[in-house]
Amino acid sequence: MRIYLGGHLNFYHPQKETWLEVKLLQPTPLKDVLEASGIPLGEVYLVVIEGELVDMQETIVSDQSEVKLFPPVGGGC
Amino acid sequence: MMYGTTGKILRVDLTTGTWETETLTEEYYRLYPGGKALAGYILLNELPAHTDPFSPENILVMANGLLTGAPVSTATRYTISARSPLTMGYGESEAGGFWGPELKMAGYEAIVVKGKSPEPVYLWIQDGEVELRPAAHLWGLKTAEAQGLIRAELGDEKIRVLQIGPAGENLVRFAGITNDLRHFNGRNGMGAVMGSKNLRAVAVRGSTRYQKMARDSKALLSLGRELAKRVKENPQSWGLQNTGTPGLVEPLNAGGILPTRNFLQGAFENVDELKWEVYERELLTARRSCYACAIRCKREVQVDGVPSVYGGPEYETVGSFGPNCGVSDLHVIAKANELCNAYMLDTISTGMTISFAMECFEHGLLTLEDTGGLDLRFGNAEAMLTMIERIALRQDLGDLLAEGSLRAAEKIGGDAKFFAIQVKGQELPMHEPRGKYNVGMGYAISEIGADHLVVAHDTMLANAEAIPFKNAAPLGITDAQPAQSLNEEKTRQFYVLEKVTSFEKVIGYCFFGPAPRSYILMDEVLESVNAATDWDMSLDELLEIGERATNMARIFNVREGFTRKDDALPERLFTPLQNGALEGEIFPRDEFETALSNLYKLKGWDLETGIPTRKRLQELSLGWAADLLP
Repeated sequence: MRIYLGGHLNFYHPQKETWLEVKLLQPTPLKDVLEASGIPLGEVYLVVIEGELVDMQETIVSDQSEVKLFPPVGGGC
Repeated sequence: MMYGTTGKILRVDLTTGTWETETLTEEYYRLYPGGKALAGYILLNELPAHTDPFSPENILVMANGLLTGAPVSTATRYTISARSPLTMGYGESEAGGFWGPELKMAGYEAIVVKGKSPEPVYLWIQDGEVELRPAAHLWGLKTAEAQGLIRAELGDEKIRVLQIGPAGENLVRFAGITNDLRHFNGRNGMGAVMGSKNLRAVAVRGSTRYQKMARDSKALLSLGRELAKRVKENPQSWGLQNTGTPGLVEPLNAGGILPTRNFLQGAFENVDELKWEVYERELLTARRSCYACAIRCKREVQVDGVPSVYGGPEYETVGSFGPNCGVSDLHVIAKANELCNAYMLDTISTGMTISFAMECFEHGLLTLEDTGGLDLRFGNAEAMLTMIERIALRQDLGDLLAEGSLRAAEKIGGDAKFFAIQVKGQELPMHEPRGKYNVGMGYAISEIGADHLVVAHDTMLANAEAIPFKNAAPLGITDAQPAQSLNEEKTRQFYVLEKVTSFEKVIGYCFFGPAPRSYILMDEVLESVNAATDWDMSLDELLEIGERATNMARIFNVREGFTRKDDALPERLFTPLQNGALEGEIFPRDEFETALSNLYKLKGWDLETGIPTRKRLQELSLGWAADLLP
C-alpha cells in the first residue's frame, strides 16, 4: 500500500520522503500498519482515503490502499 | 548592574528634530521587560486617549524583547506599537529578522518616536550615535530601492534598514513596516503611522553583542547550541525548517479549515497547485533565517523568472491571495507578495480587502464602473494584482479599499458589511475558527483585532498522545480537548496559553520557538531568561508578565471606548461552511458568549463591560493603570 505523509509527517520516513510504500499480505488495521512503520498515532491528526476523512481507529487497509495522513498544524506568519 | 539589556531607550521628537536617551531602572524593567509590555506601558502613560492616529501626537514605539539578539534560536522579535488607524485601538505588530538584534547591539532597547518631521527623514543609529537625515529622495520609492540608497550613502552594506514603503507614505490603513525587505511588522497599520510622521526609515548598526549584556553568557551559548542541535529532532520545528509555513496549505485544506473565497468555504478545489511540492519546484531558490535562529523557516523565491529580493510568500500570503481570492497560480501569488513588500502593505489585510471587494463585485455592490473596468470576480488573478497597486497608491477603487474592509463596507452600504470579514476593523488571518474554536476566541478578544497569534491553535492540543500536547504539561494543560469545543477546561487552557504567547511578545521569542507550538521547552525558556538576567524568575512570574501586558492593551482599548460588544466575530462565522471536510459547520454563537463570560471571569474582567477590575489590576502590579479607567 502507499501512505502519503502530508505536512511534516515525512519526519517519520527513514529518508524523509513524502510517500511510504508498505507491503501488506492481508487486510490490516491502519493503526497497526502505522505503528509497524514507526509513525506515532498521536502525531496523525487526519486520515484521508479517496478524498474522504476516515477514522484511523476503525480503518482497515489492504495492499491496494492509498492513504493520506496529515499532522496537527497551527499558526503561520 | 542590570543584565540582559542595554538599559537604554532612545526618545526622538521629529517635530523639533531632537533626541535624548532614557535609562531604565531594574524595578521598572522587570515588570515590563520589553516588547509588548514596554510599548504598552509607554503608550498608556504618555499617549492621551482619543489621539488621532495620524496626528503628530500619536506615539510610535519600537521595542525589543528582553532576549532579542540573544544567541538562542528564535529570540529575534521586536514590537512596533501605536494607536492603530485600522482599529482605532491599541496597535501592535511583531517581526523577527535582524533589525531588532542590531538595534540592541547599537545600544538601545527601544525607540519612542513622537511628533512629525516637517520634511521626510530617516533615523540613523550607530553604536549609540544618532542622526536624523533627509529622506525626500527616498519618498515614493519602492522598499528595495530605498534600502539600497540608504546603505550606499552610509557606506555599509551590513546596515539593517527598517522602513515603510509608498503605502505607508500614502496612509493606507493597513500599511506595514519591513526590515531587510523580508521581515514584516505587517498588521494594524503601523506603517501608516510611521508615514504620517514623515519618517521613512530607521537604519541601525551596532557592535556590542548580547553575550556582553548577559549575566551568564556561557550558559546562554550552551543552551543556544543545544537548541540549534535539537531543532531537527522535533517534528514541529523540523517541519518549519523543511517546508516553512507554506507547508500548512495542504493539511489545512484536508481538515476543511483553509479559508477560501472570503471565508465562504473551507477547502479549495485547486489546492494541488498550491502544495509545498509545487512551491518547492516552481518558486524556491533558497532558504534563510532570522538572527541566530536554527529553524530557518524563511523562503527565497523567484518571481517572473528572477530571484526576488523580497523573500517568498509565507502561508498567510499564499492563503490570502490564493484560496481566499480563488486564485490557484503560485507565480501570481509570489508576484502579489512581491508587490505588497515593495509598496509595504500587510499581505493579510490586502488579500482580505480584495476578497471583500470580489464578493461585493459578485453581488453587484461594486460594478465595472466602480472598479475602473476590472472584472473583480473571485479567481481573476490579473485584477487582484492590479488592485494591490491601486490600493498602495490610493488610485480609483484602491483609495476606498485603502481604508480597510470595514470602512469600505460602510461606504458601499447594503450587504457589504456582511462581506467585511474582520474584528475591531482588522481583517481575519488565514485560519478558520469553525474548525478551531479557540482561534475564534483569540480573534474576538485580541486587543489588536483579528489575530492568529494569540494562543497555540486547538489542533495542536487535541490529542493527548501528540508531542505539542505533552510539552504543554508544565503549563497545567493535561486534559486534551477537541478542536471544536468551548467548554470550561478549553477556556481555562485559552487563558493560560494567551499568557504564554503574550510573554513571548514581551521577551522576544517567536511564536515558532517555544512549546507547545514548537520545540523549546518551558524550562528552557526560563533557563534563557535566568541566564540573561539575575532575576531567578519562575514560570509563574513569566506568565504574569504576559497577563500584565494583555491587560495594559485592554485598558488602552477601554479608554478608547471599546467594550464587550467589540469582542465579537463576523456574522459569516455563524453561517455554515459551504464545502470541505467541515461542510455545514458553524461557530456556535451561544457557546461563544458563555465561553467569553468564562474567560472574563478567569481574567478578572467585568462580565458586562469587559473592563479589568481594580482588584485584578492591583494583583498584576497595575494599580496605577486602574486610575486611567473611566
